Amino acid sequence: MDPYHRQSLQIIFLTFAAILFSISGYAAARSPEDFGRTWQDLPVIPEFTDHAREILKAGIAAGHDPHAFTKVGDCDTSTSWYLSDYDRDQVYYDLGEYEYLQNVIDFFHGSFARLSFAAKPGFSAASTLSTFFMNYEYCYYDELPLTCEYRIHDPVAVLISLGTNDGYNPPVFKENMRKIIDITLEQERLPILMLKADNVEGDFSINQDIADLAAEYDIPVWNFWAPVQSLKNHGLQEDGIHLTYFSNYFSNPKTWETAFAYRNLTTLQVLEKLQTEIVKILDNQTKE
Amino acid sequence: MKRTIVFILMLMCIFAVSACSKKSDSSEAVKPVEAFYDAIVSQNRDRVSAITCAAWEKDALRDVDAFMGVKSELKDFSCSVSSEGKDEATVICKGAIAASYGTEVTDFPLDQRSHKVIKEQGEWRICGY
Repeated sequence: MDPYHRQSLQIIFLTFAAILFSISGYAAARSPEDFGRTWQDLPVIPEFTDHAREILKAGIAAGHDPHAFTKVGDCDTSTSWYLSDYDRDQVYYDLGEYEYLQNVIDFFHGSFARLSFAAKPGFSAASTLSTFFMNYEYCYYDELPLTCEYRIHDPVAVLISLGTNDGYNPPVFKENMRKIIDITLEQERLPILMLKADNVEGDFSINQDIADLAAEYDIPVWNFWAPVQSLKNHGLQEDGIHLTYFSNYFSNPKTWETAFAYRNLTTLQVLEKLQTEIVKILDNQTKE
Repeated sequence: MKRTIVFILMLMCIFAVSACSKKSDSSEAVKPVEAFYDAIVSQNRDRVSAITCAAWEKDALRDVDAFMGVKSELKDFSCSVSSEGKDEATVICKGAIAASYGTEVTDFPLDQRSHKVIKEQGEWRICGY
C-alpha cells in the first residue's frame, strides 16, 4: 500500500473512532435532566402522607393482615435474592449497622420469602392483569394474578416494582400501572411504588410515569434509582437490565458494591415506615 | 349400469363439495383466534385491531403486552369451531404458549379456554374467552 492510501485509511479510521467515542460519551452522560425529568430528586425513603395513613386505616378495618405485604414485580422481585433471606434463619443474612431493622423483619415475617403470584420473571405491568399468567391450582377463573395474590395473602400494603419489561412501550405502562393501583386501592390496600434502576426505555420516562402516578394518587414512592447511581454500571449487570448481587451480609463491604444490598436495605427502610404507621393505627384501635 | 355409476360419483362429488364449504365456514371463524395467538408470540400489537371486536381490543392488547417480557412460541397448537351460528361462534384450541425467560420455560395451556368469535362489519373477530 502506498503512503498516500495508508494515510487516507488512517484518517478514515481515526474519524470513525472519534465519532464512536463521542456517541458513547454522549450516551453515558445522558441523565434524567437531559430529558426534562423531575423524579430523580425524590427522597429515597418516602414519608407517608395523611392519605396513605387513611388507606392503611381502612385496610386494617377491612380485616386485611397488618403484618403482611405483597410483592408485585418482575424477575428482580421474584428472585430469592430479593428479601427472601429475611424469612430464613439469621445465618443467611446480617444487618450490620442496620441491626434495628430486625424488628421490621419480625413484624412482617412470612411476607419476605413468599412466592407472589403477581411477581414472575419477565412480568410487565400487563402480565399482572392477564389471565394467561394464572395458577389455576390456587386461583379462581374470574381472578387476575394480582387479585389472586391479594385474596390469598391478604396484605395491607403492596410493594409494586414494575417497568423494566415495559421499556418497549412506555405509554401502555402508565395505563396498566393505573389499573394496578386502582385495583389495589379498591381493595383498600396501600400501593407503594418503586422507581427502577434501569433506563431500558432510553428516555427515563417510565420512572416519570411512576412518580406522576404516585403524586396523582398521593401514595408513597421510594427512589431506589438514587442510591445505586454511584455503583459500577449503576448497579446493573452487563445486560443493563438485571441488578447485581453479592450477598445479604451487610457487614461485608463487598455487599455494598452491588445493587441488591441497596434494594433490600431500602425496602426494609420503607417497611419500617409502614410498620410505624400500622403500629400507631393498631395502638389507637386498642385505646378506642 | 354406467349411468348408475356416474350418478353415484356425482352424488359423492356433491357431498365432498358441501363438506368442503362447511369446513371453509368453520375455518373462517377460527382464523382470528389463531391470529390472536400468533400476535401474542410474535409480539405484534399492530395486528390486534384487525382481528378483535371493538369491545375487546383493549383486553387483547393487554394480553399481547403481557408476553412482551418473555420469548414465546406456540406448541402443538390447533383450533377448531365447537359451535357456530350466523354471527357468533365458539372456538376451542389445543396446545400451549411456551414462554421462556432465560433457561426457564413455562407452558400456558390453551385447552381450558373457550373463545367467543363474532361477526363485526362482516368479518369474524375474536371477542373474548
